[in-house]
Amino acid sequence: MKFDDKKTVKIPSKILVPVVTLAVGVLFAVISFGQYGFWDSTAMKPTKGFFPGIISVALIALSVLAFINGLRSPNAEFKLINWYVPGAVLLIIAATYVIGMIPSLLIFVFLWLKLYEKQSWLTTLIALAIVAFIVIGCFRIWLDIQFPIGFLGELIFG
Amino acid sequence: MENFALLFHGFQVVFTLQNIGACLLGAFLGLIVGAMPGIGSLAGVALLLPLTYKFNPTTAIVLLGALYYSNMYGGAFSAILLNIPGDSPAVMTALDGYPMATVKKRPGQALFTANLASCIGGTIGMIILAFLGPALADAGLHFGPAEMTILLLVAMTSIGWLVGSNPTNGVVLTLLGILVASIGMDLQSGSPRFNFGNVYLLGGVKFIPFVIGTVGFAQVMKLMDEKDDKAKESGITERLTIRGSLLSLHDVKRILPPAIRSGILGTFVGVLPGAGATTGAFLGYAVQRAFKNEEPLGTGAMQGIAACEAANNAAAAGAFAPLLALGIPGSGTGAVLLGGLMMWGLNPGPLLFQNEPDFAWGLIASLFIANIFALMIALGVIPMLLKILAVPVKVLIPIITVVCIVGSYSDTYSFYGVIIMLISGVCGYLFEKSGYSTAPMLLSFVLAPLLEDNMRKAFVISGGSTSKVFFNSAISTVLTIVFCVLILTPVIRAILKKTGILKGKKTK
Amino acid sequence: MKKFAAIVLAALVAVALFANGTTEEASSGFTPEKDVSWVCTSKPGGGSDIFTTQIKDAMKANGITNANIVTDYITDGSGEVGRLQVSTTNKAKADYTLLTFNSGDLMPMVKNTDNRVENFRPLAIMAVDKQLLFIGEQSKYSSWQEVMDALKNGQKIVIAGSKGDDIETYNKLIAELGVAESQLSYIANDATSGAITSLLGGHVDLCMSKPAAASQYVEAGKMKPVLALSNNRFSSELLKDAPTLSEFGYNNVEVPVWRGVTAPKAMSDSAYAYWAECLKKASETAEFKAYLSKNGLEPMYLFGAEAEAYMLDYQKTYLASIGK
Repeated sequence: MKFDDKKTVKIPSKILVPVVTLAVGVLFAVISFGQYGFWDSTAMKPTKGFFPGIISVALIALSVLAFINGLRSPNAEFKLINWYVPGAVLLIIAATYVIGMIPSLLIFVFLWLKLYEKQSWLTTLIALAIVAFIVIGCFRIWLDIQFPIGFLGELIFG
Repeated sequence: MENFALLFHGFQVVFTLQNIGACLLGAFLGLIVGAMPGIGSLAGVALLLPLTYKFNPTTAIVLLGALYYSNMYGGAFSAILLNIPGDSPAVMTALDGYPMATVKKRPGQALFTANLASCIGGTIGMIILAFLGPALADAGLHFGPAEMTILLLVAMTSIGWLVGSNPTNGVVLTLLGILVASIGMDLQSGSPRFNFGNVYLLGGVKFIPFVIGTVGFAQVMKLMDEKDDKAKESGITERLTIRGSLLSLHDVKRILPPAIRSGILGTFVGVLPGAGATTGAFLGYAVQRAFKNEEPLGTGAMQGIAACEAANNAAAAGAFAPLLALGIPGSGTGAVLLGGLMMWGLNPGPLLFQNEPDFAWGLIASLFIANIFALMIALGVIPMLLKILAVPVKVLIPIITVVCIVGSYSDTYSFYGVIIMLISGVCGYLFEKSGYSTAPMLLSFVLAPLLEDNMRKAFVISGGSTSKVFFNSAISTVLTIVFCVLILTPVIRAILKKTGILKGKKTK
Repeated sequence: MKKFAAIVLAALVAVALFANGTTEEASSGFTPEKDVSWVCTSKPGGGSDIFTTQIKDAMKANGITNANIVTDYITDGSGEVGRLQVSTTNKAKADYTLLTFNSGDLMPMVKNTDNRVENFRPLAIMAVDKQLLFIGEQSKYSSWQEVMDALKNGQKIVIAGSKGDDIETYNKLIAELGVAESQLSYIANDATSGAITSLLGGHVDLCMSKPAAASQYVEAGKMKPVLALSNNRFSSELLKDAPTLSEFGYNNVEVPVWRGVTAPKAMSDSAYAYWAECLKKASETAEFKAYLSKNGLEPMYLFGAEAEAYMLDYQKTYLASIGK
């Protein structure tokens, strides 16, 4: 690999997280109070906006507090390498639409171990066998979960 | 004494070769399904229900009881070994179980502790059930929406103990968890809220994919840092034998008090309508905070594992009281079980113990036996399970990723689950990295909807009067006082400390 | 390499195994030749699932169809995703897709989404349920007359019930009685069992339930029916003493809670005729009748065009009642 995927990047996530939760709080507060109301005075009961309304106001207040605390603490360090996993999941989802879920998962395990981690054939095959046992043996056959068979599967079997 | 004779009769009903075999099979299968993240006890029991078709009614019910019961054991396995809670009560187990297995390098003992505590808690629950069942069920009925509201408020205050070193951040995520949980169909008004026009969000954010993501998938992302770290791997292998997993006498002594306490507490929580095993495990853990612990909770303390696992299983047993005596299931799993029992002509309800004593006591007896079997099987598979930890992290990463995907898919039967898992996993990772602990969020996600629903029902019943909610009955008055004490104690202590009247050094 | 090939092969075989199915039976010009996907929008073990499984089993046991029917649980979005998927299924697949569809599915669907009965081809209605109001041992009132007197005196009364159909029945009831929601209030529970719990604990005055969920409590003397929410009194021994609303000088309140089956809009006429016929035959089997009596359901058999007309009419009435 030419680029360094373990290089750390400093991101002010300790400030960003409260900013995001603040935004969520504002959004929920606006919908709660604006759209759903707070108290149904004809039926004398709280509306569906009552509880989320209170909570979102509290969230707004505490997000501000957390933001101030976050300003004082050092930035968190992030590395590219950690993001390979969610990336792989996205690829698996995409592949599932074409070749189905079970083949996608098996191919993922194979590629990851053999090409990325450069493991021996033995390790790779044992891992593949375990995954096949869990996915096909337990989930698919025994528990009868219908996994998507993908575009190609539909073409062949559908 | 009459109950004792009846229970004995129940054992006589169960003790046939076929029934014992069915019980063993049920305990084994239930354990495995319970250990699979995403399946959980509800889907597990539902999926395995067809197995019972092949047997005669008594055997079928024995099998069903064993399935349900041993399911509760399984959830702890993946929580302790992989930090992926198999079901919601196991969230608490992971708090101490995973650190104990990895940081303290005592995975065998952690599993042993969980199972032993489960067995103790379950046995206590079943003894109480056998002797006080119908009376308990009636007592549970006194907890109406108003009483449940305050009980849940009391439970929510103990989230404060989980928030760790940074209380503000912990509470921010607690509140975020509540808001996320409020997405979807609103029961009381029968209309959707916060779904932003999305048809998938109509059904809300599902708990199982949410927890698999926040805890499990975030864990995988974190593991990428450790995969080339050789030192991490070697330490564990030396204790992978069953001998290395045995508990010392000192350990057992440490486990017993929390297990017994939680067993009793859990049983009573399990009896309450709609409270369930999660609330039980949660309160068990929270109560343990009040007692002296050799190691601080949350760092891999055995007492923490024992407290929540015992309470969890005791609550599962306690839930049988309203189920059998009143025909009221306390949870989704209970409802499926009820359906299974009714399919076999057993009508749980006020007439059950009069009309069908053979069935009823046979079922209770089979729970006792299933409890013992589940413990034995669990202990038998510990050495096998421990091998998971011997697998190098870099090989484990793709395998756990697959388990996360398959588990979350199986909960919703669609990619919706996988997408929730992915999003909550990425968020969970970012939160943990930024110094926000995610455990409080998971718990508020479970408890807050219960709280809101009960609170709104209580307001409807009281006609909008707040005082009638908090002082509705003797029970709610007492609970309100407990709640006020819990809320005010830290405040008063802080004030006293500031003014110099109290010089405490036991601050965290 | 051999091992790997074997695993891949095993995976392919596993996939293939569940996508095959052959049939030989013929009627009405359509013969199922592929797997049939029967969509159920609630989780395994729920009421809809049991209804679906009963029909499937009845068809299988009596050789009504040889098609291999697979239940697909599409529970996302409270079931709306599954209903939307079925309504838009087209081409050949439409002939092989069925959907369990109840009044409790119709109401939230038309209330919360733009999906309508017109987007489906209703195949059958096969069972119907109605509600009653019950008092418990601890209730303040002992008859419906006393409840009405209390309402006249301005007392507050709370009914507990389930969601969906029950809420609709409640709305019709307060409209007919002309009382305010704050006086005769309603709390919704996820299932009727929750409502019964509140009644038994004395936290509410009345509980709305269908016969099946309540019968054993009535038998044990823990609950007593005080009002039948139907056009006629119930016929069963346990429930026949409950009067209808017309006996008190009001119009009767009845919201029939039905269970049925629909197909995609794009299903061909021949397949539509075939499935309606299969369901009709299934409804005549002893297995299905046993299911009805066990669950306290009343038979209501409408097939094909009759079912379609009924569902459309039901939708129209409901839409009018929520002002949409």
